[in-house]
This record gives sequence, structure tokens and C-alpha cells, in this order.
Amino acid sequence: MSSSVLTSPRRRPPWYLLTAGAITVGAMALPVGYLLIQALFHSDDVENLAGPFMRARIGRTLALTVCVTTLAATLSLLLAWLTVRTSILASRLLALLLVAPLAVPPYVTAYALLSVGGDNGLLVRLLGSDSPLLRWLFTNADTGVFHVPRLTGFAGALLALTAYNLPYIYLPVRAALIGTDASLEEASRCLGRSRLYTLIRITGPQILPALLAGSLLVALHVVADFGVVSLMRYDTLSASLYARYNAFDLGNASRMGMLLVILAGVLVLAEWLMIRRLRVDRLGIGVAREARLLPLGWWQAPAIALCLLVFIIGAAAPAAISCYWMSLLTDWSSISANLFKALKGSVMASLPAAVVTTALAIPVAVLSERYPGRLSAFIQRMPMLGYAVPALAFGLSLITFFTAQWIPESIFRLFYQSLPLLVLAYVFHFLAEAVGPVRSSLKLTSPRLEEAARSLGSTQAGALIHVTLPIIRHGLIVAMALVFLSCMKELPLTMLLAPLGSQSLARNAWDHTENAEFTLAAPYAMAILICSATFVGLLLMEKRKRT
Amino acid sequence: MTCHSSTTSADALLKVRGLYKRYHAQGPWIVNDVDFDLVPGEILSLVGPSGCGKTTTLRLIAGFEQADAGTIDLQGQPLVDVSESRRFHLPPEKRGVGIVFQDYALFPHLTVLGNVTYGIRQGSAKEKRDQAMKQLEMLNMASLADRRPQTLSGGQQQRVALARTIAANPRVVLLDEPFSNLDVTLRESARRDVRQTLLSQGVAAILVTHDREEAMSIGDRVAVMNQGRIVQIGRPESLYHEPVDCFVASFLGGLVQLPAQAVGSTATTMLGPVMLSRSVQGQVIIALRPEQIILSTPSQGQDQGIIEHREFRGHDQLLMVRYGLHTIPVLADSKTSYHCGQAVSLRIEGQAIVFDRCSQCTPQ
Amino acid sequence: MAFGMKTLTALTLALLASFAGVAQAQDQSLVLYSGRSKSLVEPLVERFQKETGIKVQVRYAGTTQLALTIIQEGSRSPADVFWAQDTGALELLHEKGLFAALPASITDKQLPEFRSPDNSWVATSARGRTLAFSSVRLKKDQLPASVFDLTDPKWKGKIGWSPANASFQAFVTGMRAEVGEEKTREWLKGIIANEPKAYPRNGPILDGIASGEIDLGLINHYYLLKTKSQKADFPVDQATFANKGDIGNLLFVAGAGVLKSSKNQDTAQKFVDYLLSESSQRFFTTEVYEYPVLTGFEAGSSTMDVTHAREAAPKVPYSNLKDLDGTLKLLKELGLN
Repeated sequence: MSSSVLTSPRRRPPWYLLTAGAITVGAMALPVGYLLIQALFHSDDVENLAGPFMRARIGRTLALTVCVTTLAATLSLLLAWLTVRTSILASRLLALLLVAPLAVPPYVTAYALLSVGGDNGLLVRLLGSDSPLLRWLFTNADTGVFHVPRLTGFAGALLALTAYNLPYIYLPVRAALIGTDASLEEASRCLGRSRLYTLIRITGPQILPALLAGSLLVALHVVADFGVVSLMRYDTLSASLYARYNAFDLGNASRMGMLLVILAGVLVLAEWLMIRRLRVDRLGIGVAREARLLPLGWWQAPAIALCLLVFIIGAAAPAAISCYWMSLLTDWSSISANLFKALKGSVMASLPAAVVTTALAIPVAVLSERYPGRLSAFIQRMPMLGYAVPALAFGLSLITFFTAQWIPESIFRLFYQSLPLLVLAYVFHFLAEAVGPVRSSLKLTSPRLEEAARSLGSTQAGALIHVTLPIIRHGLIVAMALVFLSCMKELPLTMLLAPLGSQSLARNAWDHTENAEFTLAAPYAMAILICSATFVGLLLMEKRKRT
Repeated sequence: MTCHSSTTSADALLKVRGLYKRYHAQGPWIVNDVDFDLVPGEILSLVGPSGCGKTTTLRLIAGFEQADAGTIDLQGQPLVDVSESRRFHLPPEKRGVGIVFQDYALFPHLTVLGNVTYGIRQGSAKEKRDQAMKQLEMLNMASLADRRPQTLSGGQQQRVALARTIAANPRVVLLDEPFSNLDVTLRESARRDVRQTLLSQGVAAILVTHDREEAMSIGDRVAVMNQGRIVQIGRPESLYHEPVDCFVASFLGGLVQLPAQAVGSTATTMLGPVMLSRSVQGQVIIALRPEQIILSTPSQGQDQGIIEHREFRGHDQLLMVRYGLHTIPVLADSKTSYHCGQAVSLRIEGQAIVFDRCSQCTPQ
Repeated sequence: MAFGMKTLTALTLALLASFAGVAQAQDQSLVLYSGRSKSLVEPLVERFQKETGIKVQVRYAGTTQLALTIIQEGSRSPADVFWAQDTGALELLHEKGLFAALPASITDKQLPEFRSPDNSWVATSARGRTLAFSSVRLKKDQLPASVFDLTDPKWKGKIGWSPANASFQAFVTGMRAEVGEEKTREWLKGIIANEPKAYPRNGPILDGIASGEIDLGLINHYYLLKTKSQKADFPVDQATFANKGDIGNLLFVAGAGVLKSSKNQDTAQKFVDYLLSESSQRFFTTEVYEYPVLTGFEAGSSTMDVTHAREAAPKVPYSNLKDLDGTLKLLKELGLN
């Protein structure tokens, strides 16, 4: 097959791709460098990270990360398979529902889960504290005391974080599964292999890159999470990190931050090693022949139930609780002005950030797919390191940079604490989320198309714009959606860098939540949900119209 | 030093000189000192086994690979000039070289018309569309103008790919195994159509294939490549009847090799006397095309062979005849009936090939 | 790619618009970095703006985050005033010499027990530590009389606290000053032996009590009052420890200071002064349920038993609450941090 000759590994990428790569690496160097300098500079009173207490926290971090990632990945695979390859009813609607948790800030999910149990929780309210079922389940045999426990600790954290993170794996795996070539699987079946074997050995490698990219993101989310685990009273490394910053112990905080970055580096290296040998680009044009859907029969009910369960835990329950609190709100007049301002503030930062991040992700992905090699593999994975830097450190690094004395006064006045700076912060922090989907969709397109365009007179850039981009639309849309949602929910960077006087939905919601003003927090939380859902819905609708 | 005849005329359209390419610094040369010319309006077939470097040569001309040494000139304009002191590669979009890929590489997000219009650079939007439609009409594809490539059959896609390439008005067209994805029944007609289209539009072309029949039927000239080198280049007839070595000979057709005792320009074989392509003395191995071995009436004193195996192929029959230690394939007409064990006499018609080079060829 | 072009146009317009908004007038406006939450600061700020006509722009974030930001920003900090939720951050900035000294006219307004000896910042309101308890499962007379009694095994598994919280840390600092390092260590170990449940903040502790996870919680007093004002039937009550002067009833403050780097020293001082005005102090007592720190201020409100709180509180001079580092070291040693 002459196409195996393919691209020579020594082709030099054009300057504009290399510039984008340099910008990416440079941008990541700032926060990572900042952490490193702080870690080395404040070297008095170095905490022993291997002491028993820290070991316990690190152990818990690893346990939670492994469990959440594995559970989310397994469920995502199952759900993606159910919604793409079986005859499950309303598969498109279910897919939309399964993506919904992306719109919910994770601490809202945690609150929702917590409110289910407890002596004053949902269960008791629904079934009544005299309910024989509850009495039977939750009366202590020894003491005779009746107490409905809350879903906290490891179990609660696992549930909340899995529900929240599932879409990050589900989305790319589903897209990859849609793009797989059914004829390969049919060939395998004809060679005598069972459906399961085929799924693992033939379909598996085609969706492995997407699975790994999503899992990497999820692992980093869990390691960095503080909101959920602190509410669930499951102390992980992030608790120590938070405590060190609160103690103004920059040295140890930065060293722990470096630990997170190193951990991210290890995970990224592992992913690279697993992906390296993989060659799954499809030859031929357009959409591969679609596989026949597997009829589910009486498995329909449990399958739909599983999808709905994830939707309920990750999105419906938090939304319902927010609605409930919102219904208790009597005085809307005070809220509405702020609500609109906050909405405007959130969207004005999130939308540009989503577009710019995706735009930056395109050259990074093109570098990695069309000019494979060590350099491009490095460039493409650098954003993960920036992603792993704790948000506070990320923000402080930008602050340090832009308030440094060698920055001229005019630039300082223009940029510091301005919207462009906030957008820039979002772009570099969330770039990792965009690179994955763009890369995955690029992987499935043949380089022949760009070569054909060039032979017809297009420049390299022209071929990219007129031929490649339209074909990888779906990946671009997913990337924009993910970044938009992340920006809408983002808190720490926004608090430090947003322009003075601006508001955002996330900040207002959090502010009221901290003060136990749940009725006031609810409208903002609902606004985040609705706005995010609308944006994602619009994009996905657009995608469906065109194909 | 290659054994071929190349046109070194000043009016050559495309001139390739001393082209070298390899993928790894200490690795083998994928393209190893390739020289040839392409005359205006000519179709050159580049043929050889997989991995011989023909596709790489094509991609070097198109500009998707960078040469390690050599020059490529098109109508006097340098496309590639690599030597100790220079490294020049003209970007693909500036070369005016069209290419039809093996998998057609049609743009899935554009209609057929959109695809064909893509490469047309001159004129207003309407003019471009009209020109594209004209091109499609010439290939009888006009009715499919608004369809998407995914909905077309293989043959239709191939024609669209060709239309798209030609519409862009290239100076030379490269075709990379354009028929290999078509079913056999389509291939022959597709071959003729493509040749007809190229000739009628007067476009010079290089067609890469691993199919010898295709190479010889389409090409005005044929170049046989092996391990990065052009072993022989010339008209199909010369290559077929006067191959320089056994590789070319066996690649372009069946070959029967027999030991012979040569005296000048004749030799004696077990099948009787034969004329040689050149004068030699002593023990030689001669090569014959299967169609040169004729079943004859048994004559006195001549050895006879026994039919070991018989294959009816519709238009002819293939007989495997055993002569002593040798089994010789013989083509017989389809009407006469033969059976295994039957004794037959063979004789040789025409000239036998004695190779210029002593290449190691195992007798077949 | 029509949709893409439209988005790109929207983006460009948005960015252009944002640039237009950057060049703001810096004069006659004040920048406040507030570690105190928006819902309580905003009304005050609005009132200040109305009364004085001075525009105030506020950045809301965590006290620690803002302190670290101010340190990094250095002389280029846009902040004029820093209002912290607790004194640890204030002390740090003071140590780094980032605060401008405040005139006696302002600092003298504070109640003496809350004054920082260096007068680089002023207290704006006070909170007290209390014991929250389940009104369903416990009665007031069942409560321990002193915070030290919480080490009693009968409270095993029933106590909730928040060791990462700055208020708790201030309380431990007070305990160390009162009874010494050893006794404090013993007490902490005793509580740990009672298997307490750790919560991130006040709110979750109250949720823990209400849901039956714990029966007692060590919190700041104002939180429950706020919660009950929204949910009258919330099944949690609170009380100070019965022993008068018990360290468990410690009062401590939130405070504000003017940054040396500020180019609006006068306006900044005006704002800080405003925080100590009667109207502000009344706001703190009636809306936020905190204690006033203004000398001679009569709270008057029925929901706030200020006198009782001050009587129950130990008399710990502020200077004894400065050694936060030692507390953090101790907590780290015991694996609480």
C-alpha cells in the first residue's frame, strides 16, 4: 500500500506552527517556572512530604484519583458504546443528557449529594422519619439510635467527582467511536472473533487516544480538586496545599504544587508511551460505514436507567436543588440587576476564551498529527503541566509577571486586571482541555486531503483553513464547548484577575453559598447551568444540521 | 550507472537528474540516483514492485517529500535543486504539478463541483464554475455535480479526482496507482478513459503502478524501477522484447529460461535451435516469452515432452510440459484438447533474450 | 463555516469592547481588596459612595489570596485598602511593611482590647467562638461548661471542628497564650482521641449537626444567627461555654488597613474611618450579626447579646494572638494541618 510511505519524519513544520508551539511552551513555562522558583527560593523549614501524615494524604489522593478515573473511564466506555452502537432509545437525547454534568459547578453536585442523606435530608423528607424502610436500614443495632447518614467521605467524593468528570471522557470517546471504521470490525468477526474480542482488540485501539486524553484530564481534576473533597471531609493533598497557602507558607505550598506538576508530568509521559506506537488514521474519504446497531431487547430498561442515573446525579439533582432554593426566593428585584451583570461578565470572558483557546489548540494539534516527532509530542503535552499548576499559583505567576518592574507603565496600565488578561489566563490554563478533542478529530482525517489541496494550488496555511478545518468541525466545537464551560465555572483565577467592578455568575454563586444564603446563590447557579446548556446545545445542533 | 535510454533532448518538459532520497540517515536509499525525462504530451508509466521507490519519486516531483540530492526541472523552471551547496525546494502549490491519489482524497465537505472548482484560480466565481462543469462534462460526470463524494462509487470518485486535477490546469499530472481501488471489470475501461482524457487534453503524465499490463497499455514509455533505481526506460515494446536484465524481463511478462549452448548468434537448446539477441559463446541461460514456445508436429530425432498439467483459461490453455529436468509452460489455443501424460513436441519461435548482465536469475 | 465566522466576529468585538473599558479613571476612586464576602461588604460600600461621593471598586477573594497578591504586586498594587477576614493576613502585611500607619484619630476609636499595638491596621468588627449543638438531641444543661471538657470520652465521635479555618487557629493561639503550649497540645490530643469530624467551614459544621452527623460544633457565633434568620426551624442552637472567661469564648476581629503604596492615602483613610463609624457598626451588628468594636457604641439590638459575649470572653490582649506561626507548627505536628 503506497500510503504507508507517508510523511517523512524530518519534514520541517512551517514557521507559524512553530511560533504557536513556542507561545504554548513559553506560556506554560511561566506558571511552572514560578512554582519552581518559589519552591527553591523559600527553602527554610522544608516539610517532609514523606512523613506519615503527608503520606496518608497523598495516599488518599492517589486512591481517589485512581478510583474516580477508572470508574469514570469504565462508565464512559459503556455509555458511549450504549449510545452509539446499540439500539438504545433516544440515543441522541441521552448523549445530550450525559454531557449535562459539564454545566454544573462541582461543589453544587457535592451539596446535592450531601443533602440526600442526613436526619434532615431528602430521604427523610420524602419518606418521613417514621418510615419503616428507613428505620430498618438506619437504626444502629447496638445502640438503637436511628440516624440516616450522609453520603460523605470517600464514597461521597467518588460519586460526586465521577458524575462531574464523566463527560470529559464520555464526549471524546463517543466522538471517536462514531468515527471508527465498521468494516474493520466486520473483518474481525469474519475471522471468527467474538463481538467482545473485536471490541477490545479492534475498536479499542481506535478509541484509546481519546480515552487516554480524557482520563488524563479527569485525573488532574481529581488531584487538584478541593471544593468537593473538603465538603466530603476526605482530606487529600489539596487540603494540605490549601492550608500551606493559608499559612503563607509559600515554600511548602510551592513544593506541593511542584509535586502535582510532576505527577501530571508522569501521567502525561505514561500516556505518550501508550499512544506512541498507535497508527489509526483512516484512509478513504468521509464517514466510514456505520456499524449495525446491536438490538438491546429487554436490556433497554437497565441501559436507559444507567444513563438517567448518571444524568440525575451529575446534573438533574443539583439543578433540582437549585430550583428548590430558587423557588424560596421572594425578592427578585435585588437579584435581577446583578444577575444580568454577572451573566454578561461571565460570557464576555468565557466566549472569547473558548474561541482563542481552540484557535491556539489547532496549530498545536496540527504539529502533533502532521509533523510527528519528539518536539511536537512535547509541545502538545506541555499544556497539561500548566493545567496541573494550582490555580492560585497560576494566578500569582501571572500577577508577578505583569506587575514586574521591567514591564513599562503603559502596558501595565493597559493589561493588568483587564479582560484581555483574564482571557489570556483562561486560554493558557484551559488549553489542555481544547487540545484533546482537536487532536482526536485531526487524527481521523487523512493528510492526503491537505496534499491534494496543495497540489491544486493552496498554500499550506490555505489548505489548513479551507480543507482541514471544515472537516474537523466537530472536534473544534467540542473543544470550544469544554473551555466555555470551564471558564463559566472558574473561580480562583477570576477572583484575582478579573477587571475591577466586573461580576461573574460563578463568583456570585460561591459568595452566597459561603454565607449560607442558598436562596440567593441558586439563581446564579441556575444561570450557569442554563447558559452552559444553551451554548452547548446550540453548538451540537449546529453540528447536526450540517451533517 | 543505469542501463537505460533516456531522452536528453532540450525540449523535455520534465527533467529529473540524479535524484536521491532516504528516510533515515544511515538507512537505505529509497530513491537511488534516478534520471529521466518527460516529453510534452507523453504518458510515462513508472512501474515496479512494492517498495521500489516509485511513489516516493512521485511525491518528490509533487513536492511532498524533500530530496537529499538531485534536480527536478519543469519547463526550465527548477522545482528541486539539492546539492552540497544548495537546498532548494519549490513549495507544492507553486509547482503546477497535479496529482491524483490512490484513495482520490476528495474533499468530503465539498460537492463534486466544489471539488473540481477548488483548483481553478483564474476568473470570477461564475467562470470558475463553468470551467469546472466543462471538465465534468468531458468525463460524463456533469449530472453528479451537486453530489457529495461519499455518495459516489469508486469509479465515479476516480473520475472526479481526475477532473479536479486537470481543471486546475497543471503542467504535468501525476497518478499514484489510480486504478488499484477499482474492481477488475472497471479497470480496463477506466484505463482507456484516463489515457484518452490525458491524450485529448495534451497533458503529460506520469503514472505509477505495480501492474505491468496497466503500465504497458497506458504508457507511451515505461520505466521499470527496482530498489530505488530505474533499471530500464523505453517504449513498452522494447522493454518487453529487449529487457536488459532478468528483473525487467520477468517483471513485464512471463519468462521461460532454458540452458543453451551458444555459438555466435545462434544457440542449441533442448527444444531445438534458436536465434539469439546478441552474439555469445558457450553455456548461457536464454530467456523466452511463453508465447514464443509453440507446439509443433513431432519431428525426427527430437525429444518430446510430457504434459504434466493443464489449465483451461478461456481464451487459451496453459500446459506445463516436462522436458527432462525442466518444466516448461506452454500456451496453447483453446480449441484443441490436450490431456495429461500426452507427449508433445515444442519449438521456439523468434529471438531468445540473452541478458547484458549476468544477473542471478534462477531458472523457472 | 458560517457559524465559525460569526463567533469570530463576536469575539473580536468583545475583545475590542473590553479594551475600551480598561482605561479607567484612577483618580477620585478607591480600590478595596476585600477578604470579606460581597454580600456584607457591598451594602456598606454603596452607602459610603452615597455619603461621600467617592467611588469604590472592590475585588472580592479569599483573605489569604489577596494578601499574597498584594505582596506580589508590591508598589504597583492597585489596592488602596485591604479588608481582611482575620488578623493573620494583616500581621503578615504589617511585617512586610506594606501598611501605612493610621492616625490616632482613627485607631483610638477601637475598643482597647482589640487594638493592634502597631496601629498599622484597625479592627472593624468582632466575632466570638461559640459551641453549636443539636437542639433536637441535646439540652443546654447537658453542654460542657468549658472547652476543655470536650475531651470527655462521652463526646466521642460527636464533635465537629474546622482546623483549617483561620478563626479556629486564632482560638488555638489564644489557648496557647492562656494556658501554655503543653496544655494546649494535651487538649488537642484529647480532642483527636475523641474522633472529631473535620469540616472546611462554619456552614458545613452546622449542616453536620443538623443532619445528625455530629452533636457539637466549634464555630463562630454569627453564622448560626444568619442561618436561623433564613430558616427559623433550623435544628441547631448555640451557647457560649458556661465558664466565664473560658478560652472557648474567645473574641477576635476582622480588620482593615491602608496600603503604603496607595496614591489615595486620604481617601483610603476616610474609608477605614467609615468602617468604624456608628452607621457601619450598626450595620455589622444588625445585618451581619457581628459584635461592634467601636468605643462607646451601644448595640441595642435584641438579637445580639454583646454584653453577655464580652463577659463570657476571656480577656486576652490582642498581642497574645499574634503568634500564628507557633499554632500552625503545633497543628502540623499533630497532623491537623
